[in-house]
Amino acid sequence: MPTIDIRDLTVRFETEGGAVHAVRGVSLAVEPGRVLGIVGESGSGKSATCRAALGLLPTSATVSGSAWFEGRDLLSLPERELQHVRGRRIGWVFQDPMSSLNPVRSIGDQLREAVTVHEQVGRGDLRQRVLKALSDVGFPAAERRLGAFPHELSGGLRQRVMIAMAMINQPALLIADEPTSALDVTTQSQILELLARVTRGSGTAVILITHDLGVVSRFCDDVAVMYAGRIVEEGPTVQIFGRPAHPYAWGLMGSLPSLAMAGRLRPIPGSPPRLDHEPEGCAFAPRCEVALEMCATVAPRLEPEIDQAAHRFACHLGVPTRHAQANVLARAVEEAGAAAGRSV
Amino acid sequence: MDEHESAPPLLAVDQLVRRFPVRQGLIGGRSQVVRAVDGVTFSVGAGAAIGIVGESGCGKSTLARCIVRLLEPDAGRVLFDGTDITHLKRADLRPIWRRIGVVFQDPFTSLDPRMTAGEIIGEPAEIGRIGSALERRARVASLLDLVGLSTRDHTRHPHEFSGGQRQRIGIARALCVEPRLLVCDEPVSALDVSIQAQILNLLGDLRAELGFTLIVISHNLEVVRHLAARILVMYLGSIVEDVPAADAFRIPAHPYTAALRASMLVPGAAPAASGSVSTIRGDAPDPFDPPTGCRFHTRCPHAIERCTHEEPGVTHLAPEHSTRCHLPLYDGGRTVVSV
Repeated sequence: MPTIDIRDLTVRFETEGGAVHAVRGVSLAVEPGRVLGIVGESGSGKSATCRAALGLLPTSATVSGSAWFEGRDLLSLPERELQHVRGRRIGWVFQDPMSSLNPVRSIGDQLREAVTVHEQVGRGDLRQRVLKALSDVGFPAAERRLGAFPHELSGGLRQRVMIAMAMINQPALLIADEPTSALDVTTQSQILELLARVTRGSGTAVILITHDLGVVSRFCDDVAVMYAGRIVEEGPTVQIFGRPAHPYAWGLMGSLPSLAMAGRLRPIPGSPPRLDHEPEGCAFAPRCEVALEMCATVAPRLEPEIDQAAHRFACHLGVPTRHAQANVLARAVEEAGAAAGRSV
Repeated sequence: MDEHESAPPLLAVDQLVRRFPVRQGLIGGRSQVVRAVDGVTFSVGAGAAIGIVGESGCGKSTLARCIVRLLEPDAGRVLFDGTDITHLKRADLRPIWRRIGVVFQDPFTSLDPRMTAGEIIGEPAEIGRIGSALERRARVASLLDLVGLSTRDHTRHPHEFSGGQRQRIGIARALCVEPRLLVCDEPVSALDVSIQAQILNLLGDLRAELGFTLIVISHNLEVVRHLAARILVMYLGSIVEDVPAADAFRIPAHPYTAALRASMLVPGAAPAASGSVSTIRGDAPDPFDPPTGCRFHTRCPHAIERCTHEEPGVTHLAPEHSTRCHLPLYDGGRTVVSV
């Protein structure tokens, strides 16, 4: 049974300029111990999807659909009960640790509070739990530094504290929204490895939101690719990267300098649509090099790839065209992988 | 290959130092000094494309600002096209700035929101009083076309453009004065992946067409490699490796370059099971208090006792490949130390 099961989620923001359709019918589920990566560009709805499930959207948002977690629909829970789920059963880590940590309270204080708002724990036990949470995330000299304030720590250490705080109550689900985008590249892989380690050990299900395909391919079991508020492709990571089916996924991979074959990149032309009105047909059609006439009017549904029930995509395009494109890409990915070398 | 030897370099930087005094603490407090750029030397031949790569706080943006003289260096020299511009006054810098274009990271804050795209792009020519008003109008139109915007866009304001289009405006503006040198500081890091590729292609095409010398600065080794033939790797204010772009991936000599390369996550290259990708531990040290000896020794997996107290000098491994390391991973092909 999945840890979280989001069904037909829609999110609409009311703004001065009218409604913005940020999420347009998203369904996804994560099994215990699995890591699902949600990739997409800014404005694709990946963060709004997760914040909706956590009840962390501003009041200007209208949400519909359901998000089943431990037998209850998070979207219909009263705020008081939701608060009890958040932080205790669902942990989260956001991009910028500086804005998630309280700048005027020590990290020891904040970690203790993360526990005591949900349960009563004796002082000695509490201290042990805080120290263990910090040592689990590789925080050096934790005992001496419980009194440290967030600004006294480096970005990497702050993000370790955030992960310790998210994991201290052993949640069933962890939501990590661009957890390493504010960090330097050499710190990024350390933090991602840490996330993988602490969650795999505990059977926690993870949703990792990122714009970085490299991060997804390295750390996620499954991938959902979002575009303009919808999932356009989803499935096991190996298959999505080996044989991407959706033209948007081909485009993303052709855009990467690391995968560029002969010098020139193959960017996706144009830019993502504004979602101030619901796109008719496939939202990607105006940028799609292989769009058919029907793509402009009929929205494609997520359907399974031939013989691969878990790999689903939303595109009207015929199988032969897709496979020809996917083969070209698969070769490029292999060559790039070989060129990057894994010996280092 | 020997472009910097046959022709005099367009840009030569010699032992450049730039410090920033920073006051610690809220009230008063002691004032400390960060050496953001600490003795940097290199030169760039006319028409060449070089990349400067490093993590945040390594001094790469300060270096760029010293080169284009938006900042005045504290020591050392900057020679542009044979002229010593290190301490030139503002009035004397004007003719220099006419030959240097700069593209900044953030297309959302670097454009004046009250000006139209046409005014933004044409402003450098306006300030420099280059050509007649009619000629400047024509110049703006051709620049819009050059960077892939419509000539009708010249009356629109920045907020009407997407991030990628705004960066195109920034590039057009930088090219307005037909610079001999274009300096791009993180030109794509604020953009989405599919848009990044458009801008990288555009910069490559423009350079092929216009032949300007290019300095591209990024934390992303891939972005730098895509545009530059030669890469300078910076760490805590110092250049630790100067290497042909392809060799930075094939035979990195400095452990920090190797770590940067290993930290790049190439999609599809390796599933999660294949072990650790991070080869170095911890974060970059406090720039107020840089380590003694080799600045990288606190994070280096190969550091020996000597690295803790003796700062390594420049070792030449090949005619165009040098590093500051006591134990380079690549020593010019004699032996290769396993990483």
